[in-house]
Amino acid sequence: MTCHQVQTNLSLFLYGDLDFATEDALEEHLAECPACQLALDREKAWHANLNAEHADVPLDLLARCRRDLEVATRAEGNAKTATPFWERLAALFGVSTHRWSERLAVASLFLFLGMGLSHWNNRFNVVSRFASPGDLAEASLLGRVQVRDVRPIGDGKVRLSLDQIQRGEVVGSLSDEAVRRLLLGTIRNSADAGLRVDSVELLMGQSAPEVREVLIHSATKDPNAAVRLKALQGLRAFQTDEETRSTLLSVIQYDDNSGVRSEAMEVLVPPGAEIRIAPDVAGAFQHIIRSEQEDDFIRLRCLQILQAASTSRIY
Amino acid sequence: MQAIENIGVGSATERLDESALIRDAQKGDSEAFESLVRSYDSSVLRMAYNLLRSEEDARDIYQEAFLRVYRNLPKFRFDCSFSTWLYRIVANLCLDQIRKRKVRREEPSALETGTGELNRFDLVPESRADVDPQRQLLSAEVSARIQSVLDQLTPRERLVFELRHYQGLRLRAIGEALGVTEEAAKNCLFRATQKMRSALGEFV
Repeated sequence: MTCHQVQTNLSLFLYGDLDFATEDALEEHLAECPACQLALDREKAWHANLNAEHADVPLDLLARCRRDLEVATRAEGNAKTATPFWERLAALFGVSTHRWSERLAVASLFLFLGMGLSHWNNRFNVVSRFASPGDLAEASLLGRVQVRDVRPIGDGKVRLSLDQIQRGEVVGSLSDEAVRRLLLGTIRNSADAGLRVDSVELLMGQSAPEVREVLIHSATKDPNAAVRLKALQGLRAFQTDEETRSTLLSVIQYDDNSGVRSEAMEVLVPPGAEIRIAPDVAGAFQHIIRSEQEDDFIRLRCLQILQAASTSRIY
Repeated sequence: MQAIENIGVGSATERLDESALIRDAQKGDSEAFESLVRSYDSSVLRMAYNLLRSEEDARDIYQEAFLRVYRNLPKFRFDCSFSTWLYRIVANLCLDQIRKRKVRREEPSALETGTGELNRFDLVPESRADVDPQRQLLSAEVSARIQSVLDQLTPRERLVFELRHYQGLRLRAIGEALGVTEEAAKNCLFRATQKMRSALGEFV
């Protein structure tokens, strides 16, 4: 590479826009050529001067531009929505919507068309067959469509079977079994930990066996510690139940979250209350005192409970 | 510059976030549109302001560019990145404006501001010249020379130089924004830097 070639490419070199081979050759040349090194320093210097020349935008200008744009987009938005869709559609049919009788006729027509389309869709699953793949992909991203099956069908094509999720609302009391089942299903199946926590909270105080079963499941199996914690609080209502007690013991011994373990301890042996513990619980606590290495609070609490119990009773 | 660089090499999360914003804005979510605008608008305005050296023109470019985005966003199909699409719009508007005003012949070496004209010489930081009058004079001379050579660039060279040097766009993105190949953008940048070097090399 000659000095001329090097010096004419210095800016592209500084921008990192040379191909690998040219950059390599240029660096090799630079390492051995003081004149080109000087040229590189000069190149950097005029780049720096240029940077100082770039003016900053006055702050109020940006603010004014944003205000103008907001006004303009709002005006355009209003213009778009000025004529309601149904009026434009009615105009397509050549119907004026100024008279009441005609409005009623148009509304009835749309209602009839809507019901017909809905029936047709339910029967033939038209939407899923004819919605564009782009729309379905977007719906999938939004969680409204789930892919149930994928299968190659030859000729480089695949068939994807989809489940479309329909939105709806249910309003009812917590004593309503359907509402309760929906909440229980949410606790077991929802991917949203926040929803699971809220559902557990709503069901707290309910004494139905299926509630206890789901709470026990969540307290031991839910991957989210906040949900496990909430489920343990829900289990206070079933404190005397044998299965609940062994669940709490299991959480105290095996949960990897110390907050969850402490909560289980408090549910099992509420602080301040007269301490009465079963022999199996006492045995488990002795085991924890001997083997617990990491959680001092749990070990100490077990010790306190056992000491208190020895002065009262182990039944 | 930051926003553009982020988009150029941004993380997958950033791109996903932007895609989600675009999709929401396409459905008419005005807050999403505003967030999208605010990711880019200071860079766009800065570019227009420095290219056109007029507050009024920069404001017009800003308004027109984002209104075009607003009107055409529902048709945006993610064939290219949003930043490329936006800078294509801005680049075309700036090129039209530069050509319309025949910048090279007519442009003064002062920036119009809301509070009157601001001489570009005054933009050079004081500290560069320190308190030495001789250096101050030299600095002013460099500044004038820079202005003069920027004015000598063709509109396309000026734009490519702005996008590469100041906005930090990669050559491929510049090519896409201007509707030319990466190689053509590189040649354009090469010509621009040759002119800059000839004019400024002796001053530094």
